[in-house]
Formats: sequence, C-alpha cells, structure tokens
Amino acid sequence: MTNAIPPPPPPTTPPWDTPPPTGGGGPLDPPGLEPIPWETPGRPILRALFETVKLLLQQPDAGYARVPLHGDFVRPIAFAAILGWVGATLSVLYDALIPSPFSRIFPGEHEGPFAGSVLANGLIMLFAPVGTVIGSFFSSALIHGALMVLGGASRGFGATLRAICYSGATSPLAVIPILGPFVAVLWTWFLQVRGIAVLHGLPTGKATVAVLLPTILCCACGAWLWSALLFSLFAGLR
Amino acid sequence: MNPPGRGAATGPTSAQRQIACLWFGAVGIAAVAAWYLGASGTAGPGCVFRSAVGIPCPSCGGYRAALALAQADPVAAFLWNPLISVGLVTFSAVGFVAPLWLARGRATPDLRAGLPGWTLPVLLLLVLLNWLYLLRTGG
Repeated sequence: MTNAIPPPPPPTTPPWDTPPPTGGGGPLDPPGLEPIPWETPGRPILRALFETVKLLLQQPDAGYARVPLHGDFVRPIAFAAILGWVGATLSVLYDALIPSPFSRIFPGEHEGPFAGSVLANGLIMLFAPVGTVIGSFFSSALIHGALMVLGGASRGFGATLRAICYSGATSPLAVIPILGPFVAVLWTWFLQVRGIAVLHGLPTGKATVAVLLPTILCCACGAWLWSALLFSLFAGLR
Repeated sequence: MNPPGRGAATGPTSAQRQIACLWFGAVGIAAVAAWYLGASGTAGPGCVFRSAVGIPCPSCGGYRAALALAQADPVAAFLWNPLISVGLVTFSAVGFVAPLWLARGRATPDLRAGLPGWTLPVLLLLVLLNWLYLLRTGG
C-alpha cells in the first residue's frame, strides 16, 4: 500500500468559459473602446440608462461599436425589459388621454388593448418587460436565421441578440404625440440594421436584408405571432 | 463536452446556457399564452395585409396554427398554415430540449456558420408554395 497523493480534481469551469482578461473588451471587442454606459460596471443605473439611450439614438454606430460581444446577456436583456416597460407605460398613458388615430383607419384591427380597462392597462404595464424580452428573443432568432441564410452571422447569436435588445432604445419615442409609436417602429428597424451591421461587421445592405427578410417573407411571423398573442390576451380583458 | 475548435461545435458557455434558458422560457410562456387563448376561444387581432389587399398574407393562419398546436392538435395547425406550423414545432422542440441538452454537457451547434447556398432559394420556394396553399384555401 502506498500513500500516493491523489491527483487534483479537474476544474469545474472549462477553460474556454473563463471571462476575458480585461474588464472592457473580449477577443472580439474593438480594443481601446470603453464599453457602452449600460455595460460599464459601477455606473448608476438611471444615468447609465439615460446615457445609453442618448448615445444609441444620436450616434448608433458609435454606440453599437462599444457593445461588448462577450459575457452574459443579463445587462442587454435588462435594458430591453426596462425600455419595453417605459414604452408600454407611455403608450398606455398616452392612449388613455388621446385615442390613437389608427383605430379609425383600421377599425377592429388597432383599437386594441390600450383602449382597455384599468385592469388590462395595469397588466400591460406589469407584463411589458417579460413580453418585450420574449419578443426580442423571437425577433433575434428570426433575424439570426436570415443572417445564417445570407452568410453573415459571423459573430454568433449573442451579437444578434444584443443588437435587438439595444434597439429598444427607441421606446421613449412613444411619448411623441400621435406618430410616436410609428416613428419608434421605423427607428427601431434602423437601429437594428445599424446594430447588425456593426456587431456582425456587415455592409449596410446585407444587414438591411437580414432585418427585413422575415418581415417581407412572412410578416415577421415569429415576432408577429408573439405580438398577436399579447394583443389577444390583453384585449380579452376589456 | 467538446473543447473549442473541434469540428463545428463548441462546449456550452455560460452565455449559451442563458440563451437556452431564455429559449425555454420564451417558448414555455408563449405556449401557455396560446393554450389559454385557444381554450378561451379568443379571436386574434386580424391581418392588416388581408384587410388592405383582400387576400391572405404568407403568414395568415399562423395565429390559429399556434393556438391549435397549444391545444395538441397538430393536424389542424398544419391545415391553418403548414410552413408556420412546421417552423413553430421545430422552434419549440429545440427550445424545450436546449436546456436539457446543455445540462448533459452536450456540444452546441456553431450558429456563426452560414447555411448552404441553396437554402435561400429553397426557403423562398417553400414560402411561395405555402402562400399558394393559403390563397387556394382562403387562409
């Protein structure tokens, strides 16, 4: 019998799962750039949120260039959830004051949940973060599928998910009277195109096709389906 | 678990586990919502394209297909919209399996790789055939 020392146990964390050596950039991140304010550790939440929204709305390319491509998705998803809640709350409050003119253009189609009861509006505001996160995920999956078809998904699904989550920076535009939600949708598409182009390193044309392809082919079936489910859920509460 | 660089797959990272959980949660919540709507007989919001043009769009019937799937009626779902039904089943199945797959330490596919060049024409053809079916059946 020998008193041989047993070998040390293998590490529980695989070597490729370790965080990047520097606090800011990973292997795919551009060197020398400070992360986007929302992903800068130690910054006050509200200030980081405001600065990130302002940066993405004013300088989308510069903003997306500072989005880290490594690490987890807690911060991008939290950004989308918070901004989704802000957008839903603004829409509910605004539609309570001024009915949307679109309900007259498409009667029965757009006189939706925002014309509903206090209970429905309260539930919309309560579940808006979850609904936004799920919608962002479905949109990301569709757009990433289009990117794979077009051969432009070089930075992986995480880059697509981050681009879509940060495109929620347009949610505060819902505060613009009457045309706010419409402007927000168009600006969201623009931000998604810029985000996909910057984070995946693609030309604008290819990024535009990738973002619009699901919409062109199937009315954005996945994201649209989720919107339809949400719409029906809250419309049923009226 | 495969180390990175071996073939087209890499071992699961914490970010991939988060995506798998998000996938599972999103599909699960959507399935519960669809089941509730199907059970309560709630109508969908309608199709703007159809209202404006008068013919079904390529995804018309997708809402009813999702509700039928949530009611465990795949045949009805397929008849409402074949392409979206197949897509929903595939997407949901992967979403339900993904966390278990990663929990067992299995390798994940490399989603950075492009699909073969014939994918886009085949996809366009499938969408066209699906749309012709909807036009024929009235959506």
